[in-house]
Amino acid sequence: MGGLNLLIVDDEDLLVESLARFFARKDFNVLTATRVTEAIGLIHAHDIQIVITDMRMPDGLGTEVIKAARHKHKGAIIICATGFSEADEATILKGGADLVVSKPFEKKAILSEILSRLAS
Amino acid sequence: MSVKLGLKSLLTLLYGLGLITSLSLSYYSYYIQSAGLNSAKNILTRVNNAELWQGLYALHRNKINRATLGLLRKEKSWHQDVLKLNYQMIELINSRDLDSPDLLNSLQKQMSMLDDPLKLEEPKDLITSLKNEERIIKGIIKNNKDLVKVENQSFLGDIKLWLELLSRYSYGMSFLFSLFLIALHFNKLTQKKLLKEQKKREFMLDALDNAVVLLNKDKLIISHNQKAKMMWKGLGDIQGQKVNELFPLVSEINENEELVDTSFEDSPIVGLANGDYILGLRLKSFGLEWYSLTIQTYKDELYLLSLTNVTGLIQANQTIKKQQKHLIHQSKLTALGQMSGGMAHEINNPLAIISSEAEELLEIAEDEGLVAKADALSISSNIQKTADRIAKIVKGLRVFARQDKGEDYSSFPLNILIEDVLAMSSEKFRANGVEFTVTLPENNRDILLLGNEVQIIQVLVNLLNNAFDATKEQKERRIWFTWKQEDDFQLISIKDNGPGITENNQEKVFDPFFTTKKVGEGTGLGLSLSHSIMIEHEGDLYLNKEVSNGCEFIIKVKCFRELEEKWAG
Repeated sequence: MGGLNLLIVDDEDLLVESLARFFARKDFNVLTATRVTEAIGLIHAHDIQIVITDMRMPDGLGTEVIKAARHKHKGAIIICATGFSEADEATILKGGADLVVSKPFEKKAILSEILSRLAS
Repeated sequence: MSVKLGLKSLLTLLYGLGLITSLSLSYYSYYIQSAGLNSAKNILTRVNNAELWQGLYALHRNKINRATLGLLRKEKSWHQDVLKLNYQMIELINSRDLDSPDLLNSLQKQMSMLDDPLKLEEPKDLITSLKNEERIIKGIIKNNKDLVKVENQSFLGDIKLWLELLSRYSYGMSFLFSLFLIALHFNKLTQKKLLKEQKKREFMLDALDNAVVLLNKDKLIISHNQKAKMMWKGLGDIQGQKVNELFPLVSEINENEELVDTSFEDSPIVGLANGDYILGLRLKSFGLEWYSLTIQTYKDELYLLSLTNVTGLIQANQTIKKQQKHLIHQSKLTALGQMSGGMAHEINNPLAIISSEAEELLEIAEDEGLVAKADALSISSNIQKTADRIAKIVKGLRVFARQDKGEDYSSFPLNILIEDVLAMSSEKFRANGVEFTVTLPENNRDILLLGNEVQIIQVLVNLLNNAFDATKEQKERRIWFTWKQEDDFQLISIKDNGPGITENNQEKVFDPFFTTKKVGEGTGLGLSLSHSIMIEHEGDLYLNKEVSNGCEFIIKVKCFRELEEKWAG
């Protein structure tokens, strides 16, 4: 998977680390952010193909990240991982996400979703 | 009233008049007598020293009559003088011709020579009166009383004297008589007043809302008011009956909020000790009613019992207690729900990290050849399952966080919903050898319920599943589903012939996380959730504690129209 930029956004450092390690091993080029502002910065600065973002962050909501990502990188695969669905799934999907998963999720399952969407 | 007043006034007036009259008359006659006596005394003194005619004239002029002279004669010191006068008068009458004109002329001449300011104008009058006296005096001579036996004179024969005597004392007697009459009258008045007071008191007692009963020292009823009569009308006339008759059965609420029936002898009021009591009575006409009873004793000689009906208060109190219990239960769940919101996020994140890293570890180990693929898969699967379990519990709690009702509510036919649920369960039950008995109401009309269909299904399924699980160990597994309508309520009962719920657990059965199942089999949220859902639907879910050979849960919910009105208003 060389060359694919994958952005992980979550305020939980350990989780970001875990996911980053995993996707790095799968040969993705991993970018990380723990804040919405940071994430949006990265979205504008780089060409991102895949985004995995959490909903609740100290400085904003994951929906903002999703919106920015969809706007900047129209064909990106955007996955929203959430520990608590304040907004319901439909709204998040409408906001631009391709997939909504709830935590805890199986990384392998996410990987297969990503791979299948990349293939299509 | 005014007639009575007029009569009283008239009587009083008559008494007054009578009193005054008799008093006056007595005094007058006494006065006259005294005056008469004094004058007579005066004159007699002068008679001795002057002409007889002058004396006689003076007596006549002063109207001093025979009676007065008679009285005077009784007085020892005047006795002789009066006698002398009488004697002189007799002599005069015998010696002179009272009708002769010479006498008259002579008299006139003598009178004109008198210094006495009381000059005679009519000497004729004197002669006339003397003539009148002639008869009496001749009578006296005849009887010889005056001249011979004077000391032994008894005046009992002299009626006139008696009357005079009577008149002297009549003032006193009439006064006493009047007093007697007045006393009699006032006695009657007092009696009337007492009677009126008594009637007033009776009226007050009868107007009371309290039933009042008075007992003597033998605890027999000696007096009671109208309200008491009404209260115990089933017993007939309670006068003279023993106090136990009034309290055939006494009900109380004990510490466990249970209704207990005891006999009078076993109740706290048996000693009739001073105090306030709250007890329930079943008197024929009224059913179970609650009364506040106050007992007051007077030196063990009298007992006063006063009862007020407080049924309304007691019922209100019980309703409040029930609602409080519900509220407390609800608030526990609400608190849980409120916590769960934040908790979910706080738990799911670390959970995600653990499962993620664990997975990582396994993969790396596998790649390094440290662990066999099969093992790695198995371990990974376990980790994932466990993480999922935790996540599910947290998710389940979220339901308690739901606060508003009415939003996702709709009116749906309960009967059709039940049909669907039963269809589902019947299959499962039959496949597992469970004897499933269904009883539905006879009329198959649509019964509408305002609520959340999914939630109601959740409740029914939860209860049916519980019943199913409970009967697992039974040789003959039986489950009953009964739906009936009672007053305004739909009652749905789900009963199983499983081991039932122990008394200890009965109170806890609706507590969140309470479960008798093995670890991993169920979250313990089902019943608390179901209960919560029913309460939100303005109904109830409760355990039938009277079932001993199994377990029965009853759903209670009101039909559509009434609920809607409540929420609309």
